[in-house]
Amino acid sequence: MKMYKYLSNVMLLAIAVLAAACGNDPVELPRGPFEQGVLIVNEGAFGANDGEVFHYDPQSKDMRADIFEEVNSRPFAGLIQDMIQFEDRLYLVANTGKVEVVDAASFQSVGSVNNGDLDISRSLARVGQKLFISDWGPYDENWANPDSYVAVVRDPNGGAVAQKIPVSSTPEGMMVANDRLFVACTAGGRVEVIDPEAETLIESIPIEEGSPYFFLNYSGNHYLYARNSEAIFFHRLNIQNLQVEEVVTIPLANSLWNGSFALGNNGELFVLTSSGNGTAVAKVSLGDGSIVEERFFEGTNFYGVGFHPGSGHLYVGENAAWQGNGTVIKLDPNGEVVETLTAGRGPSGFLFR
Amino acid sequence: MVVIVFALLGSLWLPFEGDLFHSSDTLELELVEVLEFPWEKYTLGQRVKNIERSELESFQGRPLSEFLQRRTGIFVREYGPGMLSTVNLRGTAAGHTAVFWNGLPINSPSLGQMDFSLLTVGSCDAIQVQFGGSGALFGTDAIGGTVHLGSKPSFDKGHQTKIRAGHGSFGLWQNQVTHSYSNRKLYLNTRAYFNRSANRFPFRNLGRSGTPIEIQEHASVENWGLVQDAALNLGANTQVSSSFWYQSLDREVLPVMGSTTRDIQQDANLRWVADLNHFRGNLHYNLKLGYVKDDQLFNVTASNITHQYLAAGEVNWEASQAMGGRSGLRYTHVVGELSTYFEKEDRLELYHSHRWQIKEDVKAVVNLRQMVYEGEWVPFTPSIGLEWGIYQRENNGLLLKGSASRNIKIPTLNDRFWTPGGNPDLLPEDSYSGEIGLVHQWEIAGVAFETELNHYRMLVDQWILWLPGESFWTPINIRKVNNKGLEASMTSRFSHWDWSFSSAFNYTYTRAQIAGEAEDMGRSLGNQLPYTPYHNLSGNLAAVKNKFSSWANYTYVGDRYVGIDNTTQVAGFTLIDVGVDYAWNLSESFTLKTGFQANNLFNQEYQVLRLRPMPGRNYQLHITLEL
Repeated sequence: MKMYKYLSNVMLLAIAVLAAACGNDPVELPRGPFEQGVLIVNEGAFGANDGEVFHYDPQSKDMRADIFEEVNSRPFAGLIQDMIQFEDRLYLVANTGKVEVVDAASFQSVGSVNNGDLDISRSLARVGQKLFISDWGPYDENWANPDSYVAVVRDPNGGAVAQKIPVSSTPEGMMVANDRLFVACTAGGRVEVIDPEAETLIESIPIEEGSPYFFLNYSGNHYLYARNSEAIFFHRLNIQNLQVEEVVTIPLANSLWNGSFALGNNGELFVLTSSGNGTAVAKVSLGDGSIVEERFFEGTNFYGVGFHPGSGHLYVGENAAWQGNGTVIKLDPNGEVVETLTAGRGPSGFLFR
Repeated sequence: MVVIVFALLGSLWLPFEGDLFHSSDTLELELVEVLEFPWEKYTLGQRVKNIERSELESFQGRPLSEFLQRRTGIFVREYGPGMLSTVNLRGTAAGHTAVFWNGLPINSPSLGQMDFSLLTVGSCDAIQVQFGGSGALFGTDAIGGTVHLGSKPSFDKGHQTKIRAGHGSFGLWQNQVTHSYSNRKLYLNTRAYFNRSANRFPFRNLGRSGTPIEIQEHASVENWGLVQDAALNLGANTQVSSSFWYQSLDREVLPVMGSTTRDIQQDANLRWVADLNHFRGNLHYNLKLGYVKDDQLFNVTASNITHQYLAAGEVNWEASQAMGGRSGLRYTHVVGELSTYFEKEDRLELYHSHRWQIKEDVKAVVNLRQMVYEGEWVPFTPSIGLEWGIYQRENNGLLLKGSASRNIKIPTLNDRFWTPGGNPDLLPEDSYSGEIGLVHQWEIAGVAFETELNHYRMLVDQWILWLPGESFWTPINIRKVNNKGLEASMTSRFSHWDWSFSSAFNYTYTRAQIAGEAEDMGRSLGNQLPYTPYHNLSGNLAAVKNKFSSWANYTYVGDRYVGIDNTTQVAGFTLIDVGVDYAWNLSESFTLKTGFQANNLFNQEYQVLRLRPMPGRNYQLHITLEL
C-alpha cells in the first residue's frame, strides 16, 4: 500500500513537471555540440576528395577537426563548395556531385542528394520543402559547361533530383527574394530568375559589368557581386521588375577568381586579391563605392574569408598551397593577427553562429 | 662460339653466378638463372634486385605495378587496380625513378615519369630494379632508382610456342601467345597479348550515407600489345638485334569515392630499339638507335603525344681482369605535341665509367656523366662505388659495400612549357645520395641464405612542385627533402626429399622528411612526405615438387600520411596471396600447365590511396600450352 502511494506521488510529480515544461516559461533545451561557434569549411584538394568541416569555439579556443567524419563515422568524400544553413538543416554542397544534409546542431547525417544526378554542384537554396542546387553540368570538349542547370529536389532531406532547369553557363550563388529564385551565372554573364513553384525559368537578366558570383543584402537592398580582373561590381537589383537599377564599381584589381568576399559592418566588404606579390585582403566600402584599404592584410595562399559579426573579427583561410592542411588567421578590426588556427585542406568558408 | 657468348655481354642478358666476387666475364651456365645487364658491374656498391623469370610467372598479363607492390617491398602508389601506378623508391617522387626497356629510356618526357600499369608482365623476359641514385650511369630521373626491362634472346632452340589463357574474378580475361624460333645465327620471338578486366569488384562506398557495399561500375581496363624481338649473329664477333613493342591500353578511370566522374583514358605506346654489337680483342662497341612514342588521349579530346628519338654509341674495354671501363655518348631528340603546346628539344649526354679491382677482395667503380639539354649544362653527375669482401670461405661470405652519387632530374616538358603555367626558368632537381650495406651469403646444412642490409641517406633539393599562382598553377623549385632508410632482405633455398623450398623477404623503413622551410613557411619541417609509408614488408614462400609448385605471398604496407601536415592517415594493409601450379608433360614436346591462385585471401578491405577502393578476395585460373 505504501508502495502504491509512493508511486502515485511520483506520477503526480512527473505530471507537474510535464505541465510546467509545456507552459510558456523558458526551458533549457539540450544543444547540439556544434550549434554555436564557428564552422570552417575546408574545401579539400582536387582528386583527393578530402573536404571536411572543422568546428571552432572562440570562447574555449577548442578546434574540432573533421566533424562530419567524427559524427557520421565516414569521411565526407567530396570537395565542399558551399555550406548553407536553413532552419535546423545544414546543406554541404560538394562540387564533386553531391549534397550531404546534416542536422545543424549535431552534424548527424539526415540525408543526401547522391544518386549520380548531379555533376559539379556549387550552391543550394531552399524554398519551402524544395531544394534548388546550382550545378555547372558536365564539361564539354573545350572544358566549358554549356549544359548548366539548377537541380530541384522535392524533399528538404535530399533524395532524387526531380527536375533540372537549364540556365546560363556555370551558375554559382543563389538568392531567394520576392518568391523568386535568383541565380548568378558566372560564365553566362546573367542572373537567371526561376519561379520555384512552377520550377521554370521566368527571366534572364544580362549583367554588363563583370562576371556574376554571389548575392548579398545591404541596407535593405539586394546586390549581385560580380568581378573581373580590373574591378569589382555591385549590381543593385530590383526584385520586382527584375532589372539592374544601379552598378557600384570599385576599381579593385586582381580580386580572387573564386569570388571570395565577406560583408562586414556598415557596408564594408573584405575581398581577397591575388597578384604577383602574393595574396591580400582588401577592405572596400559598398556605401561610397571606394577602396578603403587595398592591402588591409597581406600574406600568401589566402583562399576564403569570413566576418564574425559578433566579435568583429575577420577570419582568413589560407590553403598552404594545397600541399597539406591550411590555417585560419583571425584578425581584429585593425587587421592585427589575433591568433592562427590549424584548419583542414583549403579553408574556404565560414559559418558563424 | 666463345666470341658469340662474349658478344651477348654487349646489350643482352646472361646468366651470372651468384657468387659475391664473381667476375662478370666468367660464365658458368649451370648456375642459378639470374639475369644480368651489361652495366651491372658498374652499379658496384649499390643494391640491385634481379627478378627471375619464374617469379613473374604468376603475374603474367598483370601490370608490373602489382608485381612490384607484392614481391619487392617497394611501395607503389596505385590509383586503383589497373589505374595509374607510380613507384616510390626510397621515399622519392614518381618522377624520380628512371625506367628503361632494352637500354632505352621510356619515361614520358612530358610527365617525367612512368605509369607502371602500362608495363604488362609478360611483355619482357627479365626485370632489374636498381635502388638509389644512379644519374651517372643512367642520366636524368635516376634519383630514387631505376627499373630495367629487357628481352633475352636465346639461340639454337628451334621453334617454341606458348599459349596462355587466364580467367579470373571481376571480369578478368588474359590471353597471350608467344612463338620463337632460333638457330645458331638467328633469333626471332613474337609475343602478342590481350588482357581485359571489367574490375567490377564490390567495395564499401564511404562516400554514401550508410557506406553501402556497391559494385565498381567505372574501372574497366583493356590492353593489347605486340612485341617482336630479333637478333642476328653476323659472323663470329658481330651481332645486330632489334626489339619492337606496341601497346594499347584503354581504361575507365576509377573515380575517387564521392565523385561521379566518368573519365576515360587511352594510352598507346610504341617503342623500338636496335643494337649493333661488335667485338674486337678486348674492345666491345655498341651502337644503339631507338624511338619511343607515347600517345595519351584523355576523355577522347585532350591529345598528348611525345616522340623520343635516340642515338647512342658506347665502347667497353677490358684492360685486364682488374681494370675496365666504358665511355659513351647519347643523343636524344624530344618532340612534344601536347594539347597546349608544341616543343622540340635536344639532349646530349657524355659518360664514362671506370672500374678497378684494387685488391683481390676490393673493387671500385667511378661513373661520370655530363648532360646538356637545349644548350643548358646540368650539374655534373659523378658517382663512386666500393665493395670489400671482408670474409670469404667456401660456404660463408661477408661483403661490405657502399656508394655515393650526385643525381639530377631535368624539368619535364610540361613543367617548362604547359600553357598556362609552364616555367621555362626551372632548375634541374638536384640530389646527393649515399649508401652502405652488408651482404652475407651462408650455406649451412643444405640451406643457402643470402641476407642483405642497406642504409641510405639522400638529399633532394630544388624539388619541383606545381603551386597555385596569381591566376593559375605554376611549377617552381621549392621542396627540399632528406631521405634516409633501411632495406633488409633475406632469401633462402633448400631441398628435402623431392621438394625444393625457397623463401624471400624484403623489408624497408623509409623516412622522407621535409627539410626546407620555403614550401609552407616551415610548418611542415621534419614531416614525412605524403603517401610514403615508414614500413613495407613482403614475403614469399615457395615449395616445388616435380611438376607441382605452390606459393604464398605476404604483403604489408604501413600507414601513409595524406598531406605534408601529417594529420590524416590511410590505414596500413596486409595482403595474403596463394597459388598452386601443375604441369603435365603430355608428350615429349607438349606440356600443359594449369594454375590457380587466390589473391587477398582474407578479403582485406583496403585502399592504397585514400578513397580509391581496391579489390577484395579474388581468384584466377590459367592454362598454358607449351609446344
